[in-house]
Amino acid sequence: MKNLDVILFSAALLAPAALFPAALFPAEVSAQACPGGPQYDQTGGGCVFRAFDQTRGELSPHTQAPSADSLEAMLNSSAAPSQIASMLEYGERVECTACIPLLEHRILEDSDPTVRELAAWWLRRRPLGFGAVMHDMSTVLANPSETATRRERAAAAIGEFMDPHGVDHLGQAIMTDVAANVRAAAVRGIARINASTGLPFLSMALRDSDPSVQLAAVSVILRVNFFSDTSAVLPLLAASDPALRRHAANVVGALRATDAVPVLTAMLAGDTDRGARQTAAWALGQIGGTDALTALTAAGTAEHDSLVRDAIEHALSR
Amino acid sequence: MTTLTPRQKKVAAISLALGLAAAFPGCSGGGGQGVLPGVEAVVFVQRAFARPDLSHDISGGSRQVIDYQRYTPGSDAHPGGVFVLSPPTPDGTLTNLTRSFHGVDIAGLDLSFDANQVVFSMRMTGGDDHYHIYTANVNGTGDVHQVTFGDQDDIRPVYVPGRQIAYVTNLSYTTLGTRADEYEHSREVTQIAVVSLDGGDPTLCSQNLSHTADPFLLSDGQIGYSRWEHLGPVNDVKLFRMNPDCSGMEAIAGQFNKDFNSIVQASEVEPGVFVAIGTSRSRTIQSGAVMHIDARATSGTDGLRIDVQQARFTNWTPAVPTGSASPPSGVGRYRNPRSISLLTDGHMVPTGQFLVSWSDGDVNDRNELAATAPQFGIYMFNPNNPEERTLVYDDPTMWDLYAIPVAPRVEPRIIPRTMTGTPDQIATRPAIIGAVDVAETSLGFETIGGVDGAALRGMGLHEALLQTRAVRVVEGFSSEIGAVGMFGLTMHEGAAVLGEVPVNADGSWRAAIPAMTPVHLQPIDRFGMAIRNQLLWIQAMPGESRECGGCHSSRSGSVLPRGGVPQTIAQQNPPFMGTFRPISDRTELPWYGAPSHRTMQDVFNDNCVSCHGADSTLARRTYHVDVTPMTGPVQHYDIPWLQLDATPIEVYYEREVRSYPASYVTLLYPSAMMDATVTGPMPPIWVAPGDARGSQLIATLNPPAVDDPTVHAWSGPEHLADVGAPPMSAADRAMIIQMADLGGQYYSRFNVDPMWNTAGY
Repeated sequence: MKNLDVILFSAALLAPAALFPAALFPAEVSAQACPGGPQYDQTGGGCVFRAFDQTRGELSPHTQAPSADSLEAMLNSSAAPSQIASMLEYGERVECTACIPLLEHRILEDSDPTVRELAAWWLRRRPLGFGAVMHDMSTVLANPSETATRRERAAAAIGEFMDPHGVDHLGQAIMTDVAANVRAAAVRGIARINASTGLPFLSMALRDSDPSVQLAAVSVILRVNFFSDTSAVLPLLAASDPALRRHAANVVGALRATDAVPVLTAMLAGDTDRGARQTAAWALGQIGGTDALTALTAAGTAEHDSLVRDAIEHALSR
Repeated sequence: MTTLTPRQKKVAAISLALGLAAAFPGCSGGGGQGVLPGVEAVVFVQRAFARPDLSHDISGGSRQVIDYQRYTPGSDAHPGGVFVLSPPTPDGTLTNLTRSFHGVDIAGLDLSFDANQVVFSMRMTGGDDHYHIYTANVNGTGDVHQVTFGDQDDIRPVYVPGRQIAYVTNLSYTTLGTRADEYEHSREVTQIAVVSLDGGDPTLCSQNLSHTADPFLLSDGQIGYSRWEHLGPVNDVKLFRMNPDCSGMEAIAGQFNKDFNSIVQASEVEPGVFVAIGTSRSRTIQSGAVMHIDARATSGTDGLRIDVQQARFTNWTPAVPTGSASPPSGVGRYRNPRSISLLTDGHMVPTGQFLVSWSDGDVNDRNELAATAPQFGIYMFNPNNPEERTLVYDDPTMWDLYAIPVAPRVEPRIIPRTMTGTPDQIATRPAIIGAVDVAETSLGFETIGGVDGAALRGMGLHEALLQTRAVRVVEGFSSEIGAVGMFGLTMHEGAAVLGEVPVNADGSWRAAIPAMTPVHLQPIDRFGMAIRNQLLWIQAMPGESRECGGCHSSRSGSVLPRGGVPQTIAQQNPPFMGTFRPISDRTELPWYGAPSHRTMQDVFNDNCVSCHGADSTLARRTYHVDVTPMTGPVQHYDIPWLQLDATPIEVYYEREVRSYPASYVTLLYPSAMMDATVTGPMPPIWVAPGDARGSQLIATLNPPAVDDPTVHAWSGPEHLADVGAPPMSAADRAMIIQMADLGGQYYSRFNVDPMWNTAGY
């Protein structure tokens, strides 16, 4: 009887029936008689459309939520990862406080990244209990005696919480954690949070000593609002890892970094990696200008790989 | 029926005469009689589902009904790729068109009009870790060519008349970047784009807040597609169409009469008639029942018009669940239905047969750990006998998908480009929206019931809309704005009021809005409350004018200006420009913590807290919530019945995590609760998200009419005046009403990241 007071309030505020033409009120309309969209208003409104329905939640068909008990039972079982993920998703608004410790365990121990991600997602949508998990994840992340795997997973979860307070924890990990996988996870987490306070840490990660951390950073920065520090990206155009060079070229092209043209020109002309030459061509086309066009034209005559030629032609056709 | 050009007829005749099978050099098998009448070959895709560790990737990627970012690379033993099967029999000869690449996964395929070329989306090892668009010759000769480049995924391409390709992409191309639906785990969503095979940048279409997916070509040259619709409590996938220049986006099926959640993988059978997959939003591996959709109007002035309100759905496979339940053995689930239509005298004539992918078994995420994973083969399907499927091809180690008969087809007319807008023009070239007569609606009492709340309670929508004073234009955004995983204790996404457009005496209105931006509309009454909350996003390109008949007027009828005049008042005047503003100037309603803006808490502090602070009677009256925290026993908390100050409800959010002020919790928690263990006298639904008319807070305030302060929305006195308190300003009252109508969000751009306060478009 949660809504008893609502009903009483509504009843007290009923407008005089005489205000409305009788023809607008269907006589003796029952709940069953209402067409699909409307609801039956117990207080005398007949069939009415409401954009909010506490009982149904979502108005679209087949969006039923599991019970709290079934959610808890599944988390205690060995269900398939995507089954867990799906049930958590449909259980977005199910209050299952007993699930919270189970999900924290999943975040740190489950081998499946989908389950870990969905566990964190479900928790971040809890008004109750989420704070404690955030605290525990940041504690795990900051504890050097924890395994690197658990620290990495804690960093990923903090990112998935999408709370700006997580930036400091993740930034600290980028600066101090000895394990590259943890720093890389922290980079991805900061990108996931996507707060402008995280931008300095992303620039820092682009200058990390470990290529995997640099790759994590250069792979995400175009998805982060307000990032513009191309000076931190330029050195990666000369990285030994071709994946780094490819991603760096994509970034400087998308950000129209004109000072990257000389390096991109060299990449297009001489990089041994086909993907790097392709992205260099694409980036030069994005940046444009006389020097870029000259480089593209020259490369077009010398290039033998058809996919790189496609990239050059595409760049020249802009 | 559609007609071939003379050149197409010639190509078709030559192809059929020579027999396409002869063009495909074999790498395995061969011989056999084709099972598809009149079809010499099929082109299809093989996708891997077994990982190197032999585990199964069943519902990877988005894990949703949208097939996206599920990269399971093929191996050398079982290479994923684009294959031609000739003849189309289980022992036909296979030609791998992507054999020069490794670690291939294909996300979409289409065949050119002359049947000589395929376009597909491919990700492979050694690339840039993205899906991009490629073309190849069907006969296996020549190089594979790449069409799109950059730091994004481009998937599900289809040919469009005029040497164009439509596809969906997660490219970031507006100030708001790649949209990220907070409901879909803030995952980046796809939008539709159209690129020329002759080079140049793609035309990027207006954004939606959730996925755009599965584009397909219509015989009139338009592009159909599926679109995930998430707007407050609405959460499903509908069918839309648009012109190739991205103009004219409109729903064609799924807003009405649909008793299942998602329409995906549609293709056209004949004009206005489609076949698609009807299924759950997740859990079914993007498979489901074969759904016949007839969207042609059955009434109105033009029977050939598509009318979303009249669209009819027929499940051709009634044994297949349209939800996520397990199908019985032998029933399975379907994907990628496509009509087999053949050229006859220059026209495309449906044969009544369909190519489908089908898998037996559970076909559900629940069997991910089973020894035998669901696996799709290609079948011929006859809707008159759905239990009888004729096997075309099935490799049990791969998923066989997207099958297309290799045969020429009519190239529809090229729809002339009328839009030239680009994302760079959003700040300078608005889109124009409006209506001839806001009160014209096809949503009668029999469809939606009456209007709820206040002075319009129980009225039919048309009668209520006659009292529309203005149309509120609401911009939507989601967690692409930054660190916000949800917008508060509400299902609604982020919202900003672009403005309230005055409605003229003849019911017409017209306004300039930022282009490419999802908005929804709320006709508002003289008390400032939405009469109806449109639960469908609309959008338009720079320079595009989208003026409709009314508030969901009949799609198969016509709406004329009132009084029989040739033009409405709105059409005779420049559009209202107050709705065309940069982000930093838009009306957002951050609840708390936005120094740059007046917040909801400011409004409560100035008007309410003196009586409804922590020491008030209603604040001391509490209801109880039982919580099992991470560690320790069940804890009992008391939530104030009504407390409108900013006292943080820290106990529920603990330690370092930002807490909501008491005003937000007390006003929104009653509507947010689902299965919480609650005892004690419950407060009313103070704020019904998206529905000011249904919100007790608004009823208590009882706002006066803007044109007559002596008339109020509800009977009884206006609050504050009734207790002798100073009156609330009209602006503050409007903020409270808008807060409820918009959805009761806690976050806006301005209390998520202060950088937005200086951001332009």
